[in-house]
Amino acid sequence: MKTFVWIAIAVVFLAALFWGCKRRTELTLSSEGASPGMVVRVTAAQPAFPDATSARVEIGGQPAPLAKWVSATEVDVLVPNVAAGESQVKVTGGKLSGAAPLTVLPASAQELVLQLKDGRFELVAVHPTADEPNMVTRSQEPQLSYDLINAQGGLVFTGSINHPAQARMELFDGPSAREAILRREPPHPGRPVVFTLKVPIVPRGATVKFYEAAPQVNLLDAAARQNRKPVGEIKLEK
Amino acid sequence: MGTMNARVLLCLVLMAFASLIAHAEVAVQVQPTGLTYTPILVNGSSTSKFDIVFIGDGFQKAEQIAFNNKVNEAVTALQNRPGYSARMCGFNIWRVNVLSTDSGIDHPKDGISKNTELDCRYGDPAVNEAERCIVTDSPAKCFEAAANAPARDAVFVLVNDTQWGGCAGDVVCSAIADGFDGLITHELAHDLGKLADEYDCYVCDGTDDNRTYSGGDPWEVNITNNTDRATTKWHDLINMTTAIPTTSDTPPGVVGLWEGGGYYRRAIFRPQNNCHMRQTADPFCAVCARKVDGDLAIRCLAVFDVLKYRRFIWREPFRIPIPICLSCPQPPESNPLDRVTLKMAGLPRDATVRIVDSNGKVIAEAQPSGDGVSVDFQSSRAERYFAEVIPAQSMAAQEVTLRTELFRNGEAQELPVIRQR
Repeated sequence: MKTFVWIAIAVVFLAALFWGCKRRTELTLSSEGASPGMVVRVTAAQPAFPDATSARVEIGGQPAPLAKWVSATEVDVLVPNVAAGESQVKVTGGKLSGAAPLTVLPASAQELVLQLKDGRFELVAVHPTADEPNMVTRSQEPQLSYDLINAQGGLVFTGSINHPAQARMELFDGPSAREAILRREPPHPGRPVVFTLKVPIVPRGATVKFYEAAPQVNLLDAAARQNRKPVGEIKLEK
Repeated sequence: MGTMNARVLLCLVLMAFASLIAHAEVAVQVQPTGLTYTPILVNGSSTSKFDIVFIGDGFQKAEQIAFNNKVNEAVTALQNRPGYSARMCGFNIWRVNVLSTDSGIDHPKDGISKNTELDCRYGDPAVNEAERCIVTDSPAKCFEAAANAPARDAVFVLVNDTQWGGCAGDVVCSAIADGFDGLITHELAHDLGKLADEYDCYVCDGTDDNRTYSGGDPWEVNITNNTDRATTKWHDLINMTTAIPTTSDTPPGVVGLWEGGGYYRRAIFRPQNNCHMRQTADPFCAVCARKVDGDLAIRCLAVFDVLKYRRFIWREPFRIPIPICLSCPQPPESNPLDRVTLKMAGLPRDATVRIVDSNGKVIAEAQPSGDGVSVDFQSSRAERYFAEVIPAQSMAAQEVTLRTELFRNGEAQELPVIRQR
């Protein structure tokens, strides 16, 4: 048992020695703050990024995807989905290490994974996202319109998607790609109706109200909006 | 009594176990980078890029290289298809490697059943489903798998089966048959370019092959019922000598008004005889290629968060998203328009600031004078707006301290401030 303890101590000591031996380099960032999904340019005083494959940058303890290798001293990285607040950008690959502070701004949108079951909308999961909210679309399929309402009862955002339970799917039929027959397939009864919606994050909580609308209706038009059929709502926590 | 308690206990244990299964995480391969996804093509902020996520079903651990190769094939198809090819800068592409127990997916018609992570299957003709319609019985798992990627505007599930087929609903499922990439590029054109299908029927079972369109001019850019040469949607691409309606395709590729499209055979027109939106084996017609190219072009600009103060080295044009008003009190009966004023100080005088909507349409434009620039515009709650800041052509990289203010209906809107270190 004692032997194992000594081996463990030795390993920790050697690891500390190894990391401690890494030369440190000063880092500067193109921005002092950025939200998840945004790009930050990291500039090292010394060549910390010999090539695109060895460049390793972490933000808030999570690997930051490399967007562009500019030079041995500069890379563009995406801010990963980490919690908002004060954070650290760290260069971890290669023979150099360095760190710089970054304020991670709150994500502005969230992806809601929703289930429509027996006429009721249920929230299955919520993921922060850097993507844009779903905006008003028009299609030849029945539409599901939504309004995002804040705690004061004000309209924050409105959008629409093809109705997940009523819209037909596009089917790639036929014997092969060269002889493909494209056509529309009705929804399959009995399959779970799960869909996603991207909406802005409202800090003090919000309600998503759902409406059904006919195909091709212009939901930017006030009269068309008033003709929508309310079909349910969900509450989003603060 | 003891037996009763044991039963209750067993029930509770089973319920807890069932709940664990219901919320079980999708088995996803962790990459050597430590990430649960692989960046295939990263061009910049997900706020502006169109983020595509590829996930796989029916690929065992040892088959992940085959899945990776199919994803690469799809990306190569994008790079090679005019419309997308010149604007790959508008995409971010991510791959999530999902690990299945069995190889391949279910074929209910043939009684083949596989245990796969995302429960994808071909259609079951016994219950009136088209056999080639590949769907997932667990869409929530697909979204969970895709959520490993940093962002997702479109999710494609590639299933490990070479029998041609696919179905596009909330998620798009496709076999990896020869030519599957055409399905991907076709569906992306719906998602990205909001393009209409150009085929002539809807159900296409022989009951609706000869329908006549009777509505107004469809809103999509690639179909129309307007036969006026001077005002039809793609009039600028029609040669004066081309007959309207168009019936002769000599030399091939004549742009005109070809009858049939948008699921109708008559009284509706498409731009060219052949187009990717009509048949996936064909390239895009000129109108569709132009639309997709334009929609991607506006995604190629760099994007920054809006901050009250920002100090940065300015090298290139950039966009900042105009924040949505989260506390506006207006009632939601209609779609109210807000009066918005954007003020920016610290920009060089020869810069241009313009407000664009999500389609790249310029709503307002101004140049700095005196202390800065002020742009007024009207904002809908159904649209997203960006301020595009364009430097003068001769401008060299320079340090800029940008101060931004935003007023909505006369009231200042709070913008994020980074604490000075």
